[in-house]
Amino acid sequence: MFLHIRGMVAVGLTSVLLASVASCGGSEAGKKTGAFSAAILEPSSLMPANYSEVYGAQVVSALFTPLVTFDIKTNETRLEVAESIESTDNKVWKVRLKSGWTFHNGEPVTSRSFVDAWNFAANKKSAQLNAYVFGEIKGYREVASGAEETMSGLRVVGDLEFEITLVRPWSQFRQLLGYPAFSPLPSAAYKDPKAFEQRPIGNGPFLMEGAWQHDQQITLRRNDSYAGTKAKAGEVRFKIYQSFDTAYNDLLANNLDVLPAVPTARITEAKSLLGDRFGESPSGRMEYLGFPVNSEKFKSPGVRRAISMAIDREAITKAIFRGTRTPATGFVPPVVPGAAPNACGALCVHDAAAAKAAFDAAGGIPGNGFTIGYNSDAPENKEWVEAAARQISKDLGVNVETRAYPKLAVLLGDLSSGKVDTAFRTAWTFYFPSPENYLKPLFTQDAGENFSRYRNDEFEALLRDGAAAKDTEAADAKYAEAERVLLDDMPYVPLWYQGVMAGHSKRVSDVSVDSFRRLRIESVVVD
Amino acid sequence: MSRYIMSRVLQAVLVLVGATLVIFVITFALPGDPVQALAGERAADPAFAEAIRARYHLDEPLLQQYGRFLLGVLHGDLGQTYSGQDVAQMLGERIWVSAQLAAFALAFQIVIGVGAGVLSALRRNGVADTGVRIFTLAGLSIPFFVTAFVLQLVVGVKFGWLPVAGTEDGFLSYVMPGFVLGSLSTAYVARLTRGQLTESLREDYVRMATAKGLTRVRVVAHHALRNSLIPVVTFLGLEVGALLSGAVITESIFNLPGMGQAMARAVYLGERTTVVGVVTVFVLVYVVANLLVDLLYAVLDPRIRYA
Repeated sequence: MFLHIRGMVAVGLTSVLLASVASCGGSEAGKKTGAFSAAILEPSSLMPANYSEVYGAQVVSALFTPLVTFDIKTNETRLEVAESIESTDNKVWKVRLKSGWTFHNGEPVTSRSFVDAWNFAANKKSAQLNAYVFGEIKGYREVASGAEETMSGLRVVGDLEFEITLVRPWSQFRQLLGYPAFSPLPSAAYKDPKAFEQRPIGNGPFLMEGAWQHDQQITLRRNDSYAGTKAKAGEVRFKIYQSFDTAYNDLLANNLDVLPAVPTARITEAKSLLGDRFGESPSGRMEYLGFPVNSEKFKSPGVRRAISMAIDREAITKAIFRGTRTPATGFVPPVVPGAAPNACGALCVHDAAAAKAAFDAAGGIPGNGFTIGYNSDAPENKEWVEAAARQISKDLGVNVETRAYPKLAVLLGDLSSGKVDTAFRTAWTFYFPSPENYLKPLFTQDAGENFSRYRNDEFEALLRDGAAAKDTEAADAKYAEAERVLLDDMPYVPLWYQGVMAGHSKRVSDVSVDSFRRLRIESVVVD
Repeated sequence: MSRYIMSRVLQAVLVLVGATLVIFVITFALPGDPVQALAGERAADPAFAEAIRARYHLDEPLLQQYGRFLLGVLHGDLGQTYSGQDVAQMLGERIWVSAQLAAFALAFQIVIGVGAGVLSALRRNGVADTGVRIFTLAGLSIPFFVTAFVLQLVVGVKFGWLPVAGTEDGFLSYVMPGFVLGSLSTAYVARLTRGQLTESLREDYVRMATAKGLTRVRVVAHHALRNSLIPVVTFLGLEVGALLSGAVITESIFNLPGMGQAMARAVYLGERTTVVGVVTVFVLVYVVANLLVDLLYAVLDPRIRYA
């Protein structure tokens, strides 16, 4: 409620102030040369395997560099700390490290730094949120349950060489290694993890200048002995905000240099006020309308496809999201290398007549109506869910209602335990750039996030073929096939891909945001 | 006197235990699993959920968890947030922010509120009085977050006279939020002072003082105003507690890492220990403020004595 009022007040006021603000000066944002500030929200954690959101990822990836990183434009995998990562069977992976990489405290980065870090993160006692990403490594189960201390699938061969054995072949494992949880840790991390988290020592392009000042700031200094491409700016200060509405005002007042996400309500205004200092980038996050496929109402794929065609994605992304989302054209966003272009085709395009025909052909929906559940703690959810409900009601001649959950945690909790029998709003962000990451974690029968309880053996066989494929092209072909199966069954309706709208001050240039919605702070130039 | 204070402290302990128990029970009724809240946009991994439940004893019965909390408090330990921060340490940093904010708000209330009230009472129905009444009406009727946004955009963004947000500029950072936070009650204090003082000025002892030939200033300041301030002090005393605890929205708009914000986030995340820790501090503040108010009565009104 409050957020809505806040948005309205802000929009109303700024339209009054618009002209005058554009010409206003203000105090200089940064005092030191080569230093700039960027807005974030309070990170949930600064441990590479423990954060839950993009702001933790933002800071962690400035402090740590994993074996591989992704190209900001193409998301292709590039070797970083790794000299080579090779496998003949997709199951046993041999990693060779480059020499000369060190942690911020001078400790050399060796194969131990990786193996010990992964064992630590997977350990039950460490209670790291993202430990599940090690799940495919042999021996993970034993470590996660607390029975073992080390994963049997990790073997140190030499100082700069180690070997990873997976439970089953997985062609996409090289990409997964770019996920920040796979970063190396120095030995200091295990002595006192709690203290380490307040001032992490990594091997990344920036190092901590002082400790994490909770809810105030995190200051990073350039790592001048970085073994990769050195950062351009000398210092970055992450100013921690409670809302980006305030951060946006700070940007206008010249007290902030980079705002990685302009609030949706201020987009139109920001475009005209900031001009070429406003930039849009696509991301790997997308939203869906999901169905419990075993429920009486939603068991027909024809009905699910009809609902997909009844939603006017174009109108909603323009009117409600003000262009910060683009209509989905499949289950894999175009930022992912190997994504099949426009896989969804007509099924994802609004066509009232075709939708109605498909709906009637599928025999309609029992009770001629259904409900869409959504969490109301994200500002735009109520608006778009209600708009979609109206469109579906009108096009299909059914009665669609909405049901608000007070918090995302409540909706996710109910979805995980299978308590949701209505359609629901859900979202997904990839953690490594592969089409598989949009298919396997959401739609295979034993996946934790399979909220629709979808099960299709043909789909899963295609994923297994992809995992065993000898090269990327063969794998991507299998994933494209799997995606087509999924589109035909439509357990989720893909809705839109999220974009990121960043704004910056006149002091900085070369501001870019990657598909993980992280600001590439190492490439920012301070004028 | 010391016996009186002792009995008040004993009462405070009872209030503290009662209030924390009630809040503790209420946090169990908060919607959503706190472990899921930690996991953000993804469904919490079962192994992780189990590890967190074990670490923070979330799998124990309610009363056992409460007992654990009380035992911790006796050792000066308020527990940890689910992201591993020490609650006592976190509150120690935040209470300083909240205290500065409350001090500015209170200062505005006393200086502007009491000042305007006195002015108004002395020049009843004059231009000043009408002006004060119009402003207080506006102060009472405009929602304070509207005042906050307007000031932030005009004073902060457009003219750059005061910082927009944050605490980097020292005391200057607290001027605007303090004014906003105090604005509603400033209007109330002005009206209260005006009413009380108007009445006092009609009292016999005021006429007596004037008849004795005392100066106008002395009559108003030492005789009339002093007696009029008891309700105002009562109000301000309770206000201290409210200012420290109820500044959630102001803290959020001006990005001040204070107690209110810690509370709001902890409630949202369902972090029992943090919620109860913050409440403990709030209860203490209220109890101390109330005690001070009662002691101030004796200073203001010589007829009141605590044996």
